[in-house]
This record gives sequence, C-alpha cells and structure tokens, in this order.
Amino acid sequence: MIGRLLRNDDVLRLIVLVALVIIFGLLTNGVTYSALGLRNILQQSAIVGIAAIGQAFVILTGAIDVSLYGTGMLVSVVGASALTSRFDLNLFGGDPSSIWTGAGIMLAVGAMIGAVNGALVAWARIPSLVVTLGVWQIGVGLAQLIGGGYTITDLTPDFGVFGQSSIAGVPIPIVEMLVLFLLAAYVLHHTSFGRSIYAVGGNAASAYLSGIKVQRIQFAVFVISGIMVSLAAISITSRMMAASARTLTGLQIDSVAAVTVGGVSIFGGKGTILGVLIGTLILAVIDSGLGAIGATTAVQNTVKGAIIIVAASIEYFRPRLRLKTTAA
Amino acid sequence: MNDIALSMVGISKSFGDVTVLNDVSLELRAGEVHALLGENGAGKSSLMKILMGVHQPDRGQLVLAGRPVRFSNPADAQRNRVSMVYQEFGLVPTLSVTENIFLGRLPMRFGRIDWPRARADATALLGRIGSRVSCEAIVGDLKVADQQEVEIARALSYDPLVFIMDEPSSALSRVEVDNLYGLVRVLKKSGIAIVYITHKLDEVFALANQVTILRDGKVAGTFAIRDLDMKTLVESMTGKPVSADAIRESAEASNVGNVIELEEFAAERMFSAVNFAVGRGSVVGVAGVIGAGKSELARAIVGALPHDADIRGKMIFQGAAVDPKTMTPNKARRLGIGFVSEDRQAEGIVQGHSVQFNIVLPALNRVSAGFLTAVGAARQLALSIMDVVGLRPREPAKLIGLLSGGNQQKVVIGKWLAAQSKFLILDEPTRGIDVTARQEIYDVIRREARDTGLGVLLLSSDMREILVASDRILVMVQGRITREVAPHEVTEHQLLEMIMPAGARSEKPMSDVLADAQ
Repeated sequence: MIGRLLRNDDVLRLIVLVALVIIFGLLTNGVTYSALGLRNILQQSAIVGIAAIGQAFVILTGAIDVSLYGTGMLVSVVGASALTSRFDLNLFGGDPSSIWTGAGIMLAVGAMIGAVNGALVAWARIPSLVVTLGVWQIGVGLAQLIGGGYTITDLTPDFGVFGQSSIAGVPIPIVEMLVLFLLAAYVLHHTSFGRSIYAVGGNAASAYLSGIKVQRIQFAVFVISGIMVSLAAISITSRMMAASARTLTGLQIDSVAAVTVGGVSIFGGKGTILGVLIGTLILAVIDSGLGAIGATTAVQNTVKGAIIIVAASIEYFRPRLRLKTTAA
Repeated sequence: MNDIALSMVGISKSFGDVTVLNDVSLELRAGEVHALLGENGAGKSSLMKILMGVHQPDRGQLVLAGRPVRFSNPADAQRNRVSMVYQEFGLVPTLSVTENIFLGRLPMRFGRIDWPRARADATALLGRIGSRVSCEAIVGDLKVADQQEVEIARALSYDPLVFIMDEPSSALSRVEVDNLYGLVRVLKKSGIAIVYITHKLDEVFALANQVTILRDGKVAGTFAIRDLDMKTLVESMTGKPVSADAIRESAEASNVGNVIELEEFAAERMFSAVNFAVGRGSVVGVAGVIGAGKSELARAIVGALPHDADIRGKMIFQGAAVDPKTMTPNKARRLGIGFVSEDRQAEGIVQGHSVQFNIVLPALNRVSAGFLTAVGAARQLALSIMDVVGLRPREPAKLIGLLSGGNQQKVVIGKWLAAQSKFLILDEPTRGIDVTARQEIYDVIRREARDTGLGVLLLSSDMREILVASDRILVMVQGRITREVAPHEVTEHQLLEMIMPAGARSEKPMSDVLADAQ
C-alpha cells in the first residue's frame, strides 16, 4: 500500500511540499508554521493558482499560453476604467459601473482574448507560442493606450469584495482558487470534454480518428485560460483597488512553473490538476520562505528559474530510471 | 457465396492534377478476408481513407448493406460499423488502455463518465480477442504487440460489419503473427468482412479469400485465392515479369581482409559478448526476432546508445583498434561507418528538406571549400548518388517527404555511399517497403559490396531478406549470437526456428513468449 502510494507522483510532490514548509519553518523560527504564515502563503498563491488552472488546460493539449500577463493587464485596465469615478479615465461615459457589470466586462474581455488565441491556434494552425507571444504584446499595448500609462484608481468602493472579504475567516481568493481546482479536477476526470483534452495532447491524430473535434478542444482551452486570467485579474484589481502595469508581472512564468512543477508534461497529454495545486503551493512556499529568510528578489528569481528547468527535466530522466529498475 | 457487406463502385479521386484513384471498385463479403495489395503509391491508403470518410470521392459510390452511404469523417464511418486498425497514429500513449478503446465515447452515467463500466467493457473486449493486457495499463508502457491488441479491441468496440487492418503484422515476431492470424480467422467466422492490407505475399495465401491488386490508382486485378499463384500476384503488382529469386553473386577475390572485427563486444543488459568480423565486400546478416538485441548491437557499434550504456570489448576497424567506449556517431562517420536506423522517419531522413540536402548531409566535407558549400558540387554528388541507388526521377530539389518509403530509404542508403563509407550497418532496411523497391535495395547493397569492397552488416527479422542478401548469417537470440550458418545451408523455415527464443516453439501464449524475450 505504502509502496503504491510512493509510486504516485502527487504523493511525492506532497512530501516535498511538507518538507519545504518544515525546512523554512525551522529556518525562520516557526514563522511559516503559524496560521497567519500559512494563510499568507495561500493568499499569495491564489492569483497564480487560478491562472495555473487555465495554463494547465492549455498545456495538457500540448500548447502553451504566454499571453497571460498581457491579457490580465488589459482585463484589469478595461475593468478599472469602467469602475473608476475619475471622468477622464472612464472608458464608458463617466459614471462608475456597478461591481457586477465591471466584473462581467472583465470576464468578457478575458474570454474574448482567449477566443482570439484559440481560433488562431486551432483553425489558423499558428503555433501557440507565436500566437500568445504576439497577443501578450498586443494586450500590454492596448492596456497602455486605454489607461494612458496611468495607474487607474478611485474604483467603485464595493469592488473590494472580490479580493478583500472572507468567508468564515478564509479570504475569498483562497476559497475561489480551491473551488476552481475542484471544478477543474471534476471536468478533467469525469467529463468527456476533460478526457478529450488529454487525448488531443497525447495524440491529436488518433483523437481525430476517434471522432473527437480536435480543433474545438484546442479552441476551448484557450477560452478557459482567458477566463481564468480574468478571474485572477478581478482578484488582484479588487485587492489593490487599482489597475497598474505592475500587478500581474510574471504571471505566465509563474503559471508555467506551477504547471511543470505540478508534473504536467510540457508536451501535453499527461498530468493531474491535483499536481498543479501542489506545484502552485510549492512555489508559493519557496517564494515566501526565501523572502522570510531575507533572500533578495534577484535570488528568488534565480531559484524559480532553476526549479522550472529541474521540474521539466525530471520527465526526461524517468524513462531511463525505469529501464534500470526493471532490468536489475 | 456470402452476402456483400460493402461495395465501393467506380471510385475516383484526384488531388490537384494527380489522380490517385481511377474507377476503383471493390466488393467486400461478410465472413471473408479480402486482401488489398499494391506497391506504395498504388492507392491503397487513399482508397481506405475514402472508405473511412477521411476523404470524399470525386466520383463513385459506397454501398453499405444495400444502402448508398456517405461518410463525412472517421467517426461517422465508425458509427456505421466500419472501423479500422491503423498502422500508426491509432493510440494515445499517455492514456490508459480503457480510455484508448473508448476514446471520444466513454460511457456516461448521470452526466459523468462511468469509469467502472468503461473498465468492465474494455476487459470484456480484450477477453474476446484473447488478450491479457490489463485495462488500466498506460498504453505507452506496453510492448508493440500488446499495443496492437489494444488497437484491435478499439476497432472491434464499434461492433464492425467491415473491419480494415493496415499491415497489421509488420511489427510483429513470428509467434505474434501466428496469434494474429488466429484472431483474423475468428473474426472472419463471426461474419465480419475484413480488408487486409499487406506487403507480405505469403500472408495473402495464408488468410485471404479474395485478393484485389491496385496499381497506379487502378484495379490491376481481382482474384479468388484459388485462381491465383505467386507469379501472377507479383506480376500484377509490378506490372512486369519478374524472376522469382534474387540473384546473389559472391564477393570478388580482390575484396580481402576485414573491415571490422569485434572481440568480446558487449553492452550490459542489452546483448552479451559477440565475436565476429565483417570482410571487405561481404554482407553479414544478423537474423533475430524484434527485441533480440540486434538494434542495440548496431547502435553500440556507432556509439548511439544512451550515455549510461555499459559497453565492453574490442573493436578493430580497418586494422586499427578503436575504443568502443568513446565512440560517437560523429566519430563513426569520420571513420567511415554508415548507419541506417530501423526508424527511417525519426533517424534516417531530415523532413522538410530536399533529397539533395539529405544525401549531402554526411558528406559535406566532400562538397565544401572552407566554410562554404559548393552548390554545384553538391548537386553533382546528389545526382551521381541518385544514379547509383536507382532513384527516379532525377530531381535532387524534391522534398524528401514527397517520396515513397522505398525511395526515402534509397536516399538514406545513398547518403552513406556519398560519405564513402567503408562499412554500412542496415537495421531492418526494408520494413514497410514494397517488393520492387526491396529488390532494388538488395541489388544496390550487393553491387556496392562487390564493386567497392563495402562491408555490410544487415540486421533483420525478415528471414527472406536475410537469405536473399547475406553471404553469411549470424543467428541472434535473446542478446546472444547462438550460431553461424551459410545461406545455402538453411531454409527460411529452419532459420525461423533458430531465431525463436528457447521455449517459444511450444504453444505458449504471446505474452509469455514476449516476457521471455525481454
């Protein structure tokens, strides 16, 4: 039983996560053990975690979405310019919109950008890296045009509810992230849409021959990614009560890191959403742990980059390891 | 006479100016095996793509159980109980056996996938074809023969009236092929109409009731098996009279000495110590089943095994000792060793480039001055090599992907001749290649050996190939060279007995035999 559990990669990942919490706990005299410390880690991870869900759907089909930062920034700026009471910055005529209208606009923008990404990848057959690299830049450019380079503030006061309130003491973004992970796990494992995502990433030709509408799947995952980025952008905009160019910096790197550390194959077709959740938490623990022991941002960046490479290369070493153990 | 399950009537199809099918008709009867033969490019796969709904015919009609039908895609064909076992691309390696069988149509219950039922149904299907594969195994971890069983179970899950098998025996060992034949006969008895696409002529006589031969997009003949002999069959395929046996000429006396000698040459866990030499101008065949260690032997000689492989022993090349531990493909090429891998697509050719590019690749030093490649010289070299290997038309600028498998393989062999190799290793050089191209490749190898003193190591699981092309035959079983025979001393059947792993000659199930072979 234990042997079988240990062969499960997600269990191994969980052990790594617990070990990291203990190590950083010891190094910081228990700061990370405290409920507050853990809550901070979760809160930090919520934005990346939500975006990583969308990224995982995309990567499972064998594609990648590096537009997240540009998409998120545009979503944030368009949303803020609907919600702001500053006349000169309001995109929609002057009166600040209600928080639900604002959130709806943000979701729509994200879904639309995802749809553009998806259509170009699925039907125009342009490689996803190229498409989303371009869309990233377009997103940043449009956000600068709309916001005029300013940080947009003075948002409808109630908008803070998405990022700052709590349910039973648990901050909304954490609840939101956990619910979305549960939902994603259900979709990926128990629906034919979810299994089709794996099939497309594993072997698109045989998925097609089995009657799966491959292009629709490739399109849909990018729309999902766009919606997830929107949810992340709503959270962060609500927490800051402002939209600026800096808030979502590095979101694509962090989401890809969470997905690969979570054990999803960068070639698609393989990996679990539970792994992605654990991967997200591992990265958050390392980030906050390094911060707590006084490492600079430069050190944190370097470590994060190294972790992506190590996590992604484990996959290459595994077949050889297996060969050895069976032959021995 | 059985009922007609499906007929294709007057099918024609063109892509641009190229006519791939011209007025082709085919009748498939329930409970019969209909062999579909033809060289590469004859139109077999185009015809099956039309049957499966991948392409639509320009003219002609499909009639299924008396009703005209039109399939808009493979899923549509499968719903109408026409299904196919693909030669490749059939399975998703990262998913379980169960999921592969029911890909795209897993059973649902209360809006979610009914996993217990999916697994039970998959197990039942696998049981029906006598497979021992676990329904929870990941397909990428399975052996080729087991993957094929999954493919067959998947195709059967559509409860087909018409069942197409595309060269199903091409990657199987002898014992596995016997199992496959048994299965085909069982399916036939259950009243399914089977289309069996093959290159192997003996299979036709072992299995088929009817035979249709395609040539240049037209039907070159449809025969009942009792009206057909081997000679008629080959002549219908090639469109010209052929001599039944290949001509084998012995090496000339001027080709003396050894090009390579191996002493106690071994790779830990892959093959045990081998001792043999390949003489100048001679072709040494290594006969063995897939998995006997032949490919590992070949890769060890050119230094193309993974870095952690533990290689031992002595290698003497052209009279000089070479350390096999430090061998790399680059060093092998510089010494004059050419290697034609069994995986032509992945390791033989560079897709997306021209014939010329591929031929000149290992011979760049011959056509370069300093850093510059002399374009004219490269073209000349490519053209002369194309003449040597008999590649027509003489278009060095043509993209290699547009060539048939046989012609691609001629390019791969040609590139090593361009590099002026002294020793050529051929690993399964004619797998999946039509008979005419096969014969041409044997002729090129024999001629180069005789005329230029090229030493050749031919590794193959095709005993006919070994017998036709080799001067000496080494038999490899489970990583060991067990004996040496001369081609005139043995029959194909005796050779087949020799290459079987111990115990495999009895009536053991396929899975046990494979486990033994590992």
